[in-house]
Amino acid sequence: MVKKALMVDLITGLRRTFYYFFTKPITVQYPKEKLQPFPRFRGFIRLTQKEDASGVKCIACGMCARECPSQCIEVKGEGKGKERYPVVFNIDFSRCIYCGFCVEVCPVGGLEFTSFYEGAEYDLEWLHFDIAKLQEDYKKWERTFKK
Amino acid sequence: MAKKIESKVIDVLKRGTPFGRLEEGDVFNENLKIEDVWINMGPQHPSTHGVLRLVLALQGERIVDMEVVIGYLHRGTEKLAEFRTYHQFIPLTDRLDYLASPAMNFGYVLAVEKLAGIEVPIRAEYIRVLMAELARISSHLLWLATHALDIGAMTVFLYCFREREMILDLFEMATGGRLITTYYRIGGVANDLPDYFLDRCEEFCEIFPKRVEDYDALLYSNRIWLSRTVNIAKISAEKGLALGLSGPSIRGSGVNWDLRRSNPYSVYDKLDFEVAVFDGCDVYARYLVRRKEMLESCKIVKQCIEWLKKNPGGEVQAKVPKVFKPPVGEVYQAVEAPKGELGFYIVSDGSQRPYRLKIRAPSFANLMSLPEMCKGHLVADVVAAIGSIDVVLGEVDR
Repeated sequence: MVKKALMVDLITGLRRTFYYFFTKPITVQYPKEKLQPFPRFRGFIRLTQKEDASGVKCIACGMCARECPSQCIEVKGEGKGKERYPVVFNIDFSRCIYCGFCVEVCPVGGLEFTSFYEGAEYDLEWLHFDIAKLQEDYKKWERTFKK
Repeated sequence: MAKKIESKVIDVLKRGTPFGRLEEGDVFNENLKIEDVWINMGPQHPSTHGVLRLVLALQGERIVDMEVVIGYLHRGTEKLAEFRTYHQFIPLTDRLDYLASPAMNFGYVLAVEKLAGIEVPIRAEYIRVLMAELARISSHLLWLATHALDIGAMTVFLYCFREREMILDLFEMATGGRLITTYYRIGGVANDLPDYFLDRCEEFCEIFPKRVEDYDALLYSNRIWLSRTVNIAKISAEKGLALGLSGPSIRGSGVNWDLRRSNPYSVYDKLDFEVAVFDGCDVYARYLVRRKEMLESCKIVKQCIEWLKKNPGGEVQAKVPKVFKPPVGEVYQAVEAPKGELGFYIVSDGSQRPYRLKIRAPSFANLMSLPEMCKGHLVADVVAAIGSIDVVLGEVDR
């Protein structure tokens, strides 16, 4: 009865909130500050370059296009055997579900994930990446609003 | 129809309404006719935003009948499975119960492995259990956060999300995805855990029980919380079983039924944990069950970390042919998802794609017991009842 009158049950809770009132906030003020994603983060996909920078590693085998659950990859290649290279390589990021199957099945490591994830766009066309856009530096698209 | 309503009215008046309370021996005035008021609750209401509609029949402010209207989040997952290969369907299972996607993956890959008779490396099994239990903690945290928020406790929401964020970081470290992990593969997991994962995970396991004390300080004996949850939305064990209630919701009615114990799969039989059972049958008992389950899951995670640290290295994926064609047959495999019994029933015709795939979603069956729970309660208690069965409409509508 005394306990009830003194509202012990409520005060224990309020004490906890009071304690956290004086601790540092854990929130991050996006977009003024940003957290760096972990290395395995599945962001936008890009084509990897050969070591000697003579082109992309992709051999246009079409495994990624076959494996893609949302069928958003289109590949057309030219040449035969080891000289085969892609002419058309489109990824429709408006349909991509970022499952990572294309990166996983690629036999030559021709695709990789970037840490870029700000894909909210007004223009749908912007999300249709072609072979040139897939090799561009993604850092320039990142959004930052410095104080 | 008129007779039916009248019997309902008597039923309700006995419980006490704004019109007064009938005592034993009172004569009910046959000429008095109070018609049910039918109102819509939803699709926009505080506990499930935009995806669940309830039609309530009211007498005053008390509920006499309820109809659950679903289908607002229907995506045709079962049909889509027939046009995807077995492997391609994995990302779609993530989107069933999007709050615990590893647990959804787990059920599906176990079913396919059972169908094709694939043996999974032991290391992969431990990693899978570790992930599934982290998902359970994360799912229950989100449940506690939103359930408390619906009932009116705002602070718990912020604290729960703080811990959930830690789990999502762990997911991101290991799998690359935060919410939609797509980590499990047929025959194992996508790749081995990164080096720093286990240490970070251990850190979390040490912090977490202390953080549960935070939530307890705010809720466990809080009189507002107690008055909103105790003796609300009661359902007996028999009724619950008859309606197909499963998971924490039925364990809150005193039924000791946990598939991890009663029908062990993966490596759960080697792990030491308690099944949380409380017999209050009400919202508060279900809260106690989930609260204890979070701590038990934390224990399982600790055991998995211990095993994985003792046995470093090794395969995490069994050899599965690239063109995967399981033999003709059918299979049912159920796992204990955070919401209850999640089952996958697959019919295979020997081709690359399932002939038919049926998902026994726990939330779907749980939702059907909602009218039974809410009868005789106030409208405000419906929100508490929906929260207590932890419904995720992604798997209800599929």
